[in-house]
Amino acid sequence: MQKIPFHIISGFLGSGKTTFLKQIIEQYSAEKKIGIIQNEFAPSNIDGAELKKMGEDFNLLEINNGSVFCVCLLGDFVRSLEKFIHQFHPDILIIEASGLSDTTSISEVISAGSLAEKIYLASNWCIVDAQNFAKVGLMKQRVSHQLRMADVVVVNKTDLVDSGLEQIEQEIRKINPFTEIKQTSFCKIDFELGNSAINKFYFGEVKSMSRPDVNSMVIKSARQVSLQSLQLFLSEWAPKAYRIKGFVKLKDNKTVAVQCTFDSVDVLDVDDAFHPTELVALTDRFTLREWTRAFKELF
Amino acid sequence: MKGLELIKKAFALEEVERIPWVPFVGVHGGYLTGVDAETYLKSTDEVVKGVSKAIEEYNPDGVPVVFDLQIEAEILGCNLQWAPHNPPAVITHPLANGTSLADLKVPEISDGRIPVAVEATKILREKHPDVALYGLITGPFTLALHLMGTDIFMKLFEAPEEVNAVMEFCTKVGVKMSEYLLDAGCDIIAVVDPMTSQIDPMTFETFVTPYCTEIFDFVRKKEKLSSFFVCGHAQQNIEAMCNCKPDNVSIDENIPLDFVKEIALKKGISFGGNMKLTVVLLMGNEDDSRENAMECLDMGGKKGFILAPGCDLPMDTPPANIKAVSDLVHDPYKQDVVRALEKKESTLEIFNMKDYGQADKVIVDIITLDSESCAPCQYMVEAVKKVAPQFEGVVEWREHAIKKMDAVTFMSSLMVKNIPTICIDGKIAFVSQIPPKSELVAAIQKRINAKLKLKIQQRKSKILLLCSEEAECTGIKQNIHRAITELGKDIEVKVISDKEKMAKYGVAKGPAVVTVNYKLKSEGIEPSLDVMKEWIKEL
Repeated sequence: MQKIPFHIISGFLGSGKTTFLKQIIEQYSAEKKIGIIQNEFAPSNIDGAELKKMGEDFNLLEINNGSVFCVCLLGDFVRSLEKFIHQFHPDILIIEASGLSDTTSISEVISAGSLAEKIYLASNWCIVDAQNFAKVGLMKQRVSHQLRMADVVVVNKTDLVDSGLEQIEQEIRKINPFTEIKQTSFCKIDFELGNSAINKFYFGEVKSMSRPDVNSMVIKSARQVSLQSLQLFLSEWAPKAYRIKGFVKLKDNKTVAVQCTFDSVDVLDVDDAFHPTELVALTDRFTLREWTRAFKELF
Repeated sequence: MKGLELIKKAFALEEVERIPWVPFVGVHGGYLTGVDAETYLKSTDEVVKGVSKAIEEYNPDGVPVVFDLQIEAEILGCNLQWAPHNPPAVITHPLANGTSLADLKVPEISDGRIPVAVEATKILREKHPDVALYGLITGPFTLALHLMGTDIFMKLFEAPEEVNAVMEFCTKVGVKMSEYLLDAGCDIIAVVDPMTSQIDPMTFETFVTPYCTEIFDFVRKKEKLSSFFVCGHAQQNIEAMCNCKPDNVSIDENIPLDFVKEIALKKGISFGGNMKLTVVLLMGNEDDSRENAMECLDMGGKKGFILAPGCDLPMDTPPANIKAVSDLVHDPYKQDVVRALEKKESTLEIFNMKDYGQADKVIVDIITLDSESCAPCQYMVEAVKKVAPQFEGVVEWREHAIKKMDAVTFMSSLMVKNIPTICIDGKIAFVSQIPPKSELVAAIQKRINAKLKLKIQQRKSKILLLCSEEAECTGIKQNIHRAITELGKDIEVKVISDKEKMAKYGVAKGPAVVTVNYKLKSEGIEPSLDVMKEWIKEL
């Protein structure tokens, strides 16, 4: 069985996640079996009810008991998700993660244990409400760890603001220099079912060629590494991965953002004092154990 | 030294001989005794049973009595959704649904499920006077979030006075709850405020610091200890947390332990954490758990550190994983071994063991920590030692104590994962458990029989009779058969009369006799190139 792509859509309450989900369901539910996971912290169930009203064909897993906002409660999430996959065999999984969710921990958990044999992290989206983002700069703390690990940041509701979009983009880039930023209103943006990094690679290859099983994996570490050994590490592993990205804490207490695709390794300084190293890889050529071991050797 | 004393020492930043350990057993206690989360959290008896079981199994220095951040919220009007494997979740928020703050009253000791926590504390206090009991209360910010819902985040900016008023009320609740639990017999009040991870230091100082400080001051006045628990990405607030003057801060895996250690010790506060809950303790195995615990122990050190999981243990965390941590904490020798394995594993060169165990003798290898200092290892070695002489020199045994590097390599090469283990001719035979004598004898005998069988099969002989015409060799054939019968041998006789085939043996004209000895060199395995070369040299 091919692994199921797992997508994260995060963002603060009211940013437009459910609207985005609705569009994905409308667009794809005829051709694919979609599994939706909702963990809205509050008010419970309202969004779930809204989605169900659509009458389209998809399966919904609601995690009301214990929102996935804290690593303490991820154990139950793993169990529910496993049951859900077993029951419905979805072609694609999308989690709507509330603004309080820790998306890195979600990525880590789905990439470990028995879940890792069934699914892989395909993409991580964060939706930002242009109106509110501009209004409350102080809320950055809350969105920043969702933003920093996002592959795509969608700046939504741009119709409601007259100016300041450029500034929002700058703010986002400061947190996550490599992310793709899309501006829109009503979440009108295209969504890719698989992982774009893999799709790019297979584009132009023989169509029928079956894709090897991909693994996603996460390294979290508190230790600091030297820039030189980080670069050696990345140049060794990047060619074996579709993509490696994330943030690494360096010896001089600086943090760098990292993005690697096959042959390119990009490392950029970012302003950040309070996050540990978090690296995500997507590959079909190594395992988490091998990767972690190699990373540990850097110290 | 007894748990409570040890924890007090660690809280006082005195050097300890052993790092104290506090497994955060919440609904996991119900898992140990076989009840669901709801039954567990609603019953004094079940909590007492679960915590007692955890004390018995995990040999902790301290334990929380009840780990449930919804007790206060439930009394104050939040609706809960219960789940079998988790503490309940708050699903409605009274202050967001029309209730006014003035209508809320500080809970009495008899309200809601407070009696469960209070009564359980009293009983556990009596049963386990030497174990530190942690009384957990919902931190004021998390309680405020329960009451107001996520509106609180907007209101921090739009209506700060409103948030302050709610925080003031939640603090009163916190102080009262602390009083109930301390009077019932708790040693330490843990203010659990995970939602503070969602705010920045400035907001923390404005909306959290004054309130939490008040609770910690109250505990100090009661001459008891306090701890500030937080989980999630709260690294930015650690300093602010320390400034609230708790006696201890406890964190989860999202914050580097060394970071907290540096700040906390500078501020004269002890610290705790931060074993990985989900990917290691819940989903990993005993090795993963030991490795993670060792990392924390080494980073935390013997001054001011308490080993704990990052947060409430997931309900069905395998008890074996927690036991592995407990064993490690109590056994400095095991710690050395884990350190040794961890360091050596990555640079290990694995032996090629493909042809191991082909010698005439049967080799019994015992992989141990060191039979002199590890009791199970000693018994396992003793067992083999006793049995081996019965085989009168056919069986040879060796101990491999993995304190030595080459033994670690040997262990990994045989793919042995547990200590102690017995391997017979390179195959894992007994893991961890010491086999009864009869089983050990049987296992060795089985291997001897297998080897003998192989040997017999290895030797096959043939006599070839080369003759142009059958009649030519009738006489010889009869003689050969007679000889075989008289000798009791197992030899095949084959007549070859094809001219070309005869020529291959260098025979132009029969009759001629050729004897052939075959030796079966291997069966069922693919011999390595080096081994093949040795065989070919013999020819």
